[in-house]
Amino acid sequence: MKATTARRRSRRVLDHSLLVLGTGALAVSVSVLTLAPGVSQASSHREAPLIAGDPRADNTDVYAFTSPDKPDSVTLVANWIPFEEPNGGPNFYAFADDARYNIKIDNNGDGVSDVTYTWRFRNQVRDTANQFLYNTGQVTSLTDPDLNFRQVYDLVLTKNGRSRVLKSNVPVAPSRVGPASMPDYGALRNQAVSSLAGGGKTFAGQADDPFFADLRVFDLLYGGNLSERGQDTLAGYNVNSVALQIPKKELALRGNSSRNPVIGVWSTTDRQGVQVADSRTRHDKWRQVSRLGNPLVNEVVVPLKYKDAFNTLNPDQDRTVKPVVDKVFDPILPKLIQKVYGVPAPATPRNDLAEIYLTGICKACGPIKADLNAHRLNKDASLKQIVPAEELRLNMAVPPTADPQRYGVLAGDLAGFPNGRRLTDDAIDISLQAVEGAAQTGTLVPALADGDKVNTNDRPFNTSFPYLALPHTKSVNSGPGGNQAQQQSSLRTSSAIGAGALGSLMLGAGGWRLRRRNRTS
Amino acid sequence: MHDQAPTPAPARARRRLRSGIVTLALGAALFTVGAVVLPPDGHTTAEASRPAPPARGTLGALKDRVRHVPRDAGAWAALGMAYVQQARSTADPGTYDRAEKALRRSLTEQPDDNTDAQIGMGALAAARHDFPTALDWARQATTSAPYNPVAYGVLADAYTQLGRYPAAYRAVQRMNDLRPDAPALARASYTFELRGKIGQAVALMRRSLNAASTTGERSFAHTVLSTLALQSGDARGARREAQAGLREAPDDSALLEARARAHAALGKPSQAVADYRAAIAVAPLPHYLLGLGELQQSLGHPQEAEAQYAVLRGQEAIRRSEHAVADTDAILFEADHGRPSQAVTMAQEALRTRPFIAVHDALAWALHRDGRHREALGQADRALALGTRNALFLYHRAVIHHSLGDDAAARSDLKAALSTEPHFHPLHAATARALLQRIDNTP
Repeated sequence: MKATTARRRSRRVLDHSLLVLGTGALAVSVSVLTLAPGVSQASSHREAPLIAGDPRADNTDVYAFTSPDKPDSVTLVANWIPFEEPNGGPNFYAFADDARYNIKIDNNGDGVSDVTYTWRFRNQVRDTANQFLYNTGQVTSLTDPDLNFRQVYDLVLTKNGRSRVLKSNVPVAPSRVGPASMPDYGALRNQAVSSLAGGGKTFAGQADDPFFADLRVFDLLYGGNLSERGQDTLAGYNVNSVALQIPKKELALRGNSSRNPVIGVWSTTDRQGVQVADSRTRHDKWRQVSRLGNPLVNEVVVPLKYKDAFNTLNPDQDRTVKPVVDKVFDPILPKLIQKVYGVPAPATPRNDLAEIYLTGICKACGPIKADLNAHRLNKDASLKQIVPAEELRLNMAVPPTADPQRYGVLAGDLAGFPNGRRLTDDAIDISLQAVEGAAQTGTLVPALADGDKVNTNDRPFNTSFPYLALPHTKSVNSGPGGNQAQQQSSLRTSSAIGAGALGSLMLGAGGWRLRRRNRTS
Repeated sequence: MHDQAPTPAPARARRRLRSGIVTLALGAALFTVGAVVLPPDGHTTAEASRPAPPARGTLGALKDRVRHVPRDAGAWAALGMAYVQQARSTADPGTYDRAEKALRRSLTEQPDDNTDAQIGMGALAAARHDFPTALDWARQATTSAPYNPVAYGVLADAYTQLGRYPAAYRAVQRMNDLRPDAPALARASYTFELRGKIGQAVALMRRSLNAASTTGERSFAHTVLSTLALQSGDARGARREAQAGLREAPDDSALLEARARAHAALGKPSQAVADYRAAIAVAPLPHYLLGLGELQQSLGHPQEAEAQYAVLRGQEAIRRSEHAVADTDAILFEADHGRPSQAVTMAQEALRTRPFIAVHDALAWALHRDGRHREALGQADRALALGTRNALFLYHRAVIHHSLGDDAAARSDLKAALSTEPHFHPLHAATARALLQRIDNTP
C-alpha cells in the first residue's frame, strides 16, 4: 500500500465528509486528520503487553569461591536485575515478593540439587497511606522509621526433601538512595549481614554489578566500530544480590569436604504457575523460569534457540537435550573466529569444553591433564550416578590465592574460574581462551590475549563477606538534564530532612516515590 | 592437591592482530541468531544471559542502533516490536507501516528461525485485526522456538479472536507453564474473565500487577482491574484502581477512560467528561469517542455528543476508503446512530476474519436494530456462550428476547445485566431499568 496516495485519498474523503458534516466537525477535524486508516481498528480487542522482560527473575551471574578470609567456608553469590541505574530518578529496586530465589548445590554429580538455599522476600510498608514514598527522611539504620519501604526475607534450607527455615525476617539492604538520605550506606550494608547458626552468614541487598565487560563488542559482527573497545559497559550500574557464606562441611557430600571437595553450584528463580483450565495435570506448582551456572553459558554452550528451554531445565535433564550437548562438543564460536580472523578452530569433538561445562575437569574425564573439579574426584561419589550437567563446579580443597590472576586456571591460579568463580575472574576473556582450546593446550591464544580490554571491575571489591562493592549513587546515563534532576532530588531530600514534617509533605508532593520505572527515560 | 593445571605464559607479545577479534567472535555467538527483545520500557535485551545496556529512549535508541549496526536482525525485530507497541498506544497508523518495514528488514537479514521477527509480525497482524495472518506468524514462532513463552502469547491472542477458545486456553496454559510473568498472568486472567469467573480473573490480574516490571504492564493491569471492579458493580474500587495507575502514568489514555467510566458510574458526569476529553487528546480511539458522545447525549448535550459522532463518522469514512475491516465500536455506533443495515454488513464482514464473541454481539445488535430479531438471537447466544459476565451483551440479548415476545428470558437477562454492572452504559442502563419495570408491571 502506498501510504502517500492512501493519505491523499483519505484526505479527499475526509474533506468531503467534513463538507457533509458541517461546522460541528470542523472543531474536531484536526484530530480526524491525524487519523489515517488503522485507527478505527486500534481498539476493542484486549491487547495485553507481550514482551516485558522479567529482570527481577532473571539470573545474571553466579559466583562460588573459598572465602579468602575464612578458608573453611565457601562464599556463594547470585545476582538479579542488571543495569540498575543509580539515582535514576527516583528509582528503586526490590526483589520480587512473588518469586523464589534459589542457590542450589549438587555434591554427588547426579545433576540434582542436594542442598538448596531459598530466599523468600516480603515487602513491609510502614505508612501505607504514603506507600509510594521510599523514605521519609534520613535513613541511619535498617529499622529507621524513615525507611518507609523495607524488604525482609526468610532463608530456607532444603536437604533430603525436607525444608526448614534457617532464619526469618532477615532485613534486606535497601536501594542506595543517595548521600543525603543515606549518609552512611556502609553501615546499612553491615546491618544486612546476618549470622546463621553453625557459623554461616547471609546477605541480600543492592550492590555494584561485579561483572565487568565491554558489551559493545557484541556489535562488531555487524560492522560496528572497534575503536571504543575497553570501556566497561557495566560500570556504574547496580544489581540485587544474595550471598551466603557456609562452612564447607555443610555443602560437601556426606559432610566431608576433604574426601568429597567438589560441589556443583547454580542459581534459579521460580514463579508460581497457573491452572488455566481443569485438567488432571497440576499446573499451579512453582515453575523454574531462570537458571544460571557457568558465566556466558548462553554464548558458549547453549544455542540461542534453546535458551528458553535451558532456563526451565534442571541440570540432570541437560543431557536429554541433544542439540545443546552437541553444541558443547561442536561450538559455533571458534568457527566464527576462524572465518572472520583466521585463527584456526580447534578440532572437534571438543571434549575439553564438555569437561569445563558438563563434567568438571579430571584426568579421567577428558583431554585436560589435571584433576581439578570433577564430581568424579569425590571419593564417596557413585560413578554410576554422575551425569553430564551444566553446573559451576568448585573444588573446595584448592586454597584461596593471595594474588588472584584474572585469567584464573589458565594463568595457573587454580582458585579461579573455571574452578568456581571469583568476583575478580575475567569471565569473557577466560571463556574465549577456553573456547579456542587454551585449557587443553595449556597455552593462551596470543591473538585473543587482549580480550575485550576490560580486565577489572570499576571499583575494588571488599575484603570480607559479602565482598561485593557498595552500590553506585551516580547516574550512568545522566545527560545535562539528568544531572539537574539529580541535584533537584537531592535538594528535595535534604530539605525534607531539614524541615521534618513539612519536608515529608513536600516529599509527598512528588519526592521519593517507590517505583521501578523505565530506567532510560 | 592434584596435578598443576597448565600454566601458560601471559602473552605479552602484543602481536597486534586486527583488534577485537575476540570479542567480535563472542558477539557473533551472541547475535548470530540476533535475538533482541524489547520490553515495553524500551530496554533492548540480548536474548543471552546478559541484556545489553539500556538506552535512553526506546525508539530513538533502537533507531540509532540499526543506523550504526544495520545488519543486526535482532535490533530490527526489536525496533519493529517497539513500533507495534507504540501504534497500540498512540493509534497512529503510519506507525504500523514503519513496524512492518523494520520487521521485514529483520527477516531479510535473518530469514530462518527469526523468532523475534515472527513474534513481531504476529503482534502487528493482530494489532491490524488480521487474525488469520497473526495465527500464521504465531505458529511459525512456536515452531521455531517451542519454549518461547512470548510466541505462545501471540498464538493465544490469535486463537482467542478467531473464536477458538479451547486452543487459546491451551496456548495460555503453555505460556504460563514456561514463564508465569506479568504478560502470561494477564492472559490467564482474561481466560477466566471470558468464562465469567470474575473472582479468578481479579486474583490473577493482581498477580500480574505484582509481577509487572514496567510502567506499561502496570498501567494495563490497573486498567483491567478497574474494569473488572466496574463489572462487579464496585465503582469506587474501579476509580481507586484507575487512580492508582494514573499516579504512575498520568497520560495513559486507557486509564483515563477507565476512570471516566468509574466517575460516570459514581454520578460525577463532569469529571467523567474531563477524563474522556483527556483520553481523546492522547489518542482519539473510537471507543473513547463513542463513550463520551453517548455520555453527553445522556446528559442532554446533543451538540457535544454530535461533535464526537462527527469524528466517528470521519473515521468510518476513512475506514471505508481503505477497505479495512470494522471494529465493534464502529458497528455498534452505526447500529445505534447510523444505518442498521449498514451495521449488519459491517459486522458480517468482520465476523469472517474475527469470529470473536464481541463481534457476534455487535452483529446481534445490528441485526436487531435492522428488525431481524430471530437471526439476532442466534448471534446473541453465541456472544454469551462462554458464560461471559458482560452487561452490554446481556442487555442486547434481553432486548432481542423482548422483541421476540419472550419476556421471561428478557427479564432474566436484564436482571443479570443490571446486577453485574448497574451503570453499564450511559443510555442503555436507564432503558434496561425501564424495560425491566415494564415487564414486571405487565400482568
